Amino acid sequence: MNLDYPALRLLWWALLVLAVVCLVLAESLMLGVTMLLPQTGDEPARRRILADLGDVAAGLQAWLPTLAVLLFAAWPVAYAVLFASLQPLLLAMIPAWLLRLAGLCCRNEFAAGAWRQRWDRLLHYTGWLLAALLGVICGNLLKGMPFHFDNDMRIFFLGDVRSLLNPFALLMAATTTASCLLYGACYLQLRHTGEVAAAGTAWVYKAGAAFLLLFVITDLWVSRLEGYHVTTAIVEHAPSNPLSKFVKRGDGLWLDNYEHVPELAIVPVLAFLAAAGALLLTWLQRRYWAFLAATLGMVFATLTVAVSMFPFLLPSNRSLNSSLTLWDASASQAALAGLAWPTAVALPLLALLTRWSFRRVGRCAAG
Amino acid sequence: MLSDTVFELAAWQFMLACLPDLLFLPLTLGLGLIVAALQVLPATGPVLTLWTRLFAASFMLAFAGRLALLLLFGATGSYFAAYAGDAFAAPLALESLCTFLPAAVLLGPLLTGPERLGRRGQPAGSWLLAALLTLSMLWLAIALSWLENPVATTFEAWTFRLELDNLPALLDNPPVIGKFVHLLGTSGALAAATVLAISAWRMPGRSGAALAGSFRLAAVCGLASCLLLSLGDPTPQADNPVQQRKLALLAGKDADALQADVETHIRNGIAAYRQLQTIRDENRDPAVLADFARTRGDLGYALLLKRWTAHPEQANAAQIAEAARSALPAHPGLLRGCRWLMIAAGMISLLLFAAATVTSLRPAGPPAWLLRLAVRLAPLPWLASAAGWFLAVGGMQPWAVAGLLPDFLGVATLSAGETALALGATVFCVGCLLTLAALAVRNWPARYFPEDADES
Repeated sequence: MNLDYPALRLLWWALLVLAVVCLVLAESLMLGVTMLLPQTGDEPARRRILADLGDVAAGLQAWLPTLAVLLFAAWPVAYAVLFASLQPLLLAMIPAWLLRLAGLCCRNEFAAGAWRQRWDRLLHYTGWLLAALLGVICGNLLKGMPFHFDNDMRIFFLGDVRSLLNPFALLMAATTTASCLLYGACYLQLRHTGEVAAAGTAWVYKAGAAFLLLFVITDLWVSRLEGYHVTTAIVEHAPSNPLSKFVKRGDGLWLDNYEHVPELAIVPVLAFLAAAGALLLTWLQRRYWAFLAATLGMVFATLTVAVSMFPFLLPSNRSLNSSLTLWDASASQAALAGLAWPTAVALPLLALLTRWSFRRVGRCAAG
Repeated sequence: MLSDTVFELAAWQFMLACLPDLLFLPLTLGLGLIVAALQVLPATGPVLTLWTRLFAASFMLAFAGRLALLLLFGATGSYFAAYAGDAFAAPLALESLCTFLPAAVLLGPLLTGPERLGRRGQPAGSWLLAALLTLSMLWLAIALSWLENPVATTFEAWTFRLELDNLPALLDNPPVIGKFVHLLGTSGALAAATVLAISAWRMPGRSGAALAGSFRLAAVCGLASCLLLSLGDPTPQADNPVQQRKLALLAGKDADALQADVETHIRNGIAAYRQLQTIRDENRDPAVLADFARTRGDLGYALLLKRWTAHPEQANAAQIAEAARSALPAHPGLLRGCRWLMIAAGMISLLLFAAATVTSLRPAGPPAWLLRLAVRLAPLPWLASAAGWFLAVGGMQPWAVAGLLPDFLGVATLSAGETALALGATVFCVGCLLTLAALAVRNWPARYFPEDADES
């Protein structure tokens, strides 16, 4: 089946959103569990938790480079702009990720002295740091980043770290952190027993309530936030040239898509209901369903951001016309077409494979 | 115009960031093959545990290197990423999806041993992992071959990027198979040298007799790999002017004649650049477009001039001459030295592996002096690999994509301070990774094959 350029671009937007959702699930699981580490009890409990997580850590963490390379291949301009703009944050995040990988692998190796306690603390703090910074990135996607292109398409990032840490981004950071805690807690109470599960349940309530509150506040703020809208007619099959359009910015424009397609409003509502459902199901002692509900909550929360921003990928708040939309930041038709079907087949399979790896490990993870 | 400091720092950062990926990924593949082979040959207990552990460590180091590279690449090499991303990242995306991610997911269950996967599952899992890593090398070979012989892409004026127009042609790039074989050889040699050295180190100990099988396997594997490597990397023979110039220079041809050839390309490129500016000004005249289609192949040469002037179309003869001189590798002597180092290190390793194979087939096993030699000569394949990498990259100077994009242009528009910070972060990360690797190599063999304690 031969798809034309516009259809390919839409398909790839969907694939990108799918990859982001998988990454969100994978990362929040790891971050949530390590953020809750000090609350889970003493040494044997922590060893079990980290042994359990360490087995699947490589697979979960591998979603991050996968998303990066998919972005690189299908949306090269967006990849370049995103990472060029985020460089100050990345310099903090990359060592954090590398140290976490090392920690999850070799923390249980040696029992000597303070080795394990130090790694625990490291995993704990890097968990909080990464959850917050991922939220900051998400917030800046919605707010727009101060970049612009010159005539040769060189990317100029005109802000600094302080402009990335604006109030809205910090609110998103809080929301993301709460969601990671909720997800990690649901996982702990499902996977383990005894005091670890009890700690997990306690945190489900705390983090769940925080997340619900913050989610509502974020939604209200977004409805007042300056959104972006393309004013010139979108030529969907044209070559990817971001500078060939005009963009306007205005309060509340992120709600534009919901006005055009009112059915989309179900997405944030479902996110809220799923998270609330996780709390309810935990109270009813249905842990497996609580975990599923939390998963759905994360998925729909991510979809809310994607749906609100459509068709924008990376708005620019300094040079509005340099904003990247899915229609003018994509790779060439040949590239998209060549990669589309392998990706469309592989991504769901890989998600299932990742899920399978838990099952294999879980069979022997007795309490 | 880009500051030279920024460019130097960015170049160092790129080289350092690529290092874990280029050293540890082949090592991981090689160790994976050895572990898979050991599952079939009757090796169990501490031997299998040790090599599986090292394999996992190497995998994680390659993983970490890959993660850092992908994230930092977009940061400091963002113009390159946007310009060449279509063709360069396509094989890498396929690699991630088809091989790297599945391999990472399978790593956990594999390491937890036969009780999770079952008697049949464990060897099957090991072989699957090794197969996935081998495929991974193929995709890497495709991406690297494209850099050195960029086919299947054309420069598009409206997007200002190299757009891919033919994915099968990208995969069919002539140097790919040869480069893939070369990468396989490197993997085997690196892993074999490591296994040989560690086995040789612990074999004289009380419990080291169990390692004799590993020693033999490593020797045979290393011999086969070095023979593969002696076939050489065929990329310089590709039908690409940049590669041919590099070969000519290494063979001792006169630089002036080559420089004159480059100057012709530069003048063509300037014409293309002029037409490009016209087209970007919304001029769709078919004559201009046809002209551009003819000359755009040389646009990259005009971009060389950007180091000296912001307006290549106004460059004078002196600047053109300078740019032409910069298009040839500046230090052919250094490149020749690298090539000799690579070949010499390879030959010595070949002899070592051959001696190890022959002596390990004797009933008495390898002599003590050979064991000591194996430990001392272990870094040789690593040296050869690094020299080969330097030869490939240095020989491509000043190009990031041969003939299409100069490397100083690929760097993002960052200040010297920011680039220095990025370089510092890269040094920190790579340093940590290498330290962990060194710790693993020092501690684990001693733990599993202690000198004086009883075998556990």
